[in-house]
Amino acid sequence: MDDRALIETLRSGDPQAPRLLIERFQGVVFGLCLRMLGHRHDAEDVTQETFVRAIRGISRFDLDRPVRPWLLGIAANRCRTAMVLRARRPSLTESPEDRPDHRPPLHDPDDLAGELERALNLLRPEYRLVFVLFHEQNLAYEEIAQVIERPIGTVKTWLHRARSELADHLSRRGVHC
Amino acid sequence: MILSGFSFASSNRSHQKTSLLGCLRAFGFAVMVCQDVEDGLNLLLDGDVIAFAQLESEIEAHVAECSPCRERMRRYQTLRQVINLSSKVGRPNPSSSVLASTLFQLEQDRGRSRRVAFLSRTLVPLSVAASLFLIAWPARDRNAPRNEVPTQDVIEASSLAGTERVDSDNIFSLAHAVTLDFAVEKSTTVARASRDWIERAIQREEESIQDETGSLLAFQIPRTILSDQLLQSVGERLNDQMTPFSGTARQAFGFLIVPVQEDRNRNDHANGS
Repeated sequence: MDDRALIETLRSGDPQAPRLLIERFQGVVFGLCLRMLGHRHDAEDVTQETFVRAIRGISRFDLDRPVRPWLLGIAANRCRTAMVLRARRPSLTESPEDRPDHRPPLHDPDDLAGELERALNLLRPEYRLVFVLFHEQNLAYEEIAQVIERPIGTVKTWLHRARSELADHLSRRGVHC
Repeated sequence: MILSGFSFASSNRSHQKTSLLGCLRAFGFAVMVCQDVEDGLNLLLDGDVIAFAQLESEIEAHVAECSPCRERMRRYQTLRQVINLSSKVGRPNPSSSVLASTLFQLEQDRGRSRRVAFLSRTLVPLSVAASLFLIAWPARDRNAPRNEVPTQDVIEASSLAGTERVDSDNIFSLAHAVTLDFAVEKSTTVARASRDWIERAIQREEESIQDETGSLLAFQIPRTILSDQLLQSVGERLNDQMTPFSGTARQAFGFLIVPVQEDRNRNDHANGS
């Protein structure tokens, strides 16, 4: 069943359709949420919220649109809200910027994913979002512009800045390939 | 080749391919300056550049004589490789509880929607009809001889016998649904709409009162089941149940208990005198 047929099934009220939608896209949505929020538990909460909102509003979904960018757009908005709420909450957790980096320069090539994650966490959220949507979710500039509701020029600018800052950070960490 | 680090798997972003002509135009067919190199490196990271080899050679020519750009290019190559390697780690998956809890929440949503729809279709009209009796019956019989009303504050439903107790419970359930469940679900908007509906129904009832056979109320609930004692039971129980709720909800549905309160005041006054 393709995505469009799945949405039509969902609209028809098939009780199995929500499960199919979630199983098909939960990895995609959770991947974005985890990158944006950095905490597994928070990411799972927002993933759940994303699907509940998507299914509640399924009658308003334009069938001509692709499903994945639509879901990622909802997830991006929910992540933004979650980050705002988290910023208002007093927290004992240090932000990556506040945490001194005592780790030795990288020697373990297996930790490259960890290095990328750490570098991403230092980016501004909007840069991080655009980078993840482009490089990890494989969305095109046009799709990202729709997801974040910004002009394509802004998307390119943010992506280029994200790359530049990431490249500099990896270099400072001694990451060489 | 210096730019070998920029090799990457082809992506599906074919519609944003940059043509050879576009690339060369972007660089003006001239010797690259440092800003052009950064733009070129980003084009390579975007992928699907048709003029890959052409762009590579342009950049290579520049970095061969520009140390800062050579360093910048090396950093971007590293970034590219980190992106490629981390993409092979695989996509993280949420725990299985996410699926279960999401489905549970959706099921709760459906249950709530069904309940509201059921209330809208069935219970509200029935409750409204029951409510009408709470208002209309004492008003119509105000001048008629009334049954003796016990003086205790609340008449327990259990003290009513047989059919009366069943009727009291049924009417209470209907009125309870509209006063509590619906007030909680929809608050004042629906409460006011229901009250308007009742007022219009009362008006129609008064208009049709000359024609007993065409009575709207008589059609919905046989009025013979009602007695003052039964009404008081329902009214007192409703009053008790509504107490914890907001003043707005109580005010919106307050009409349900007015007749009984009036009865009680009248009785209190009679007993006092």
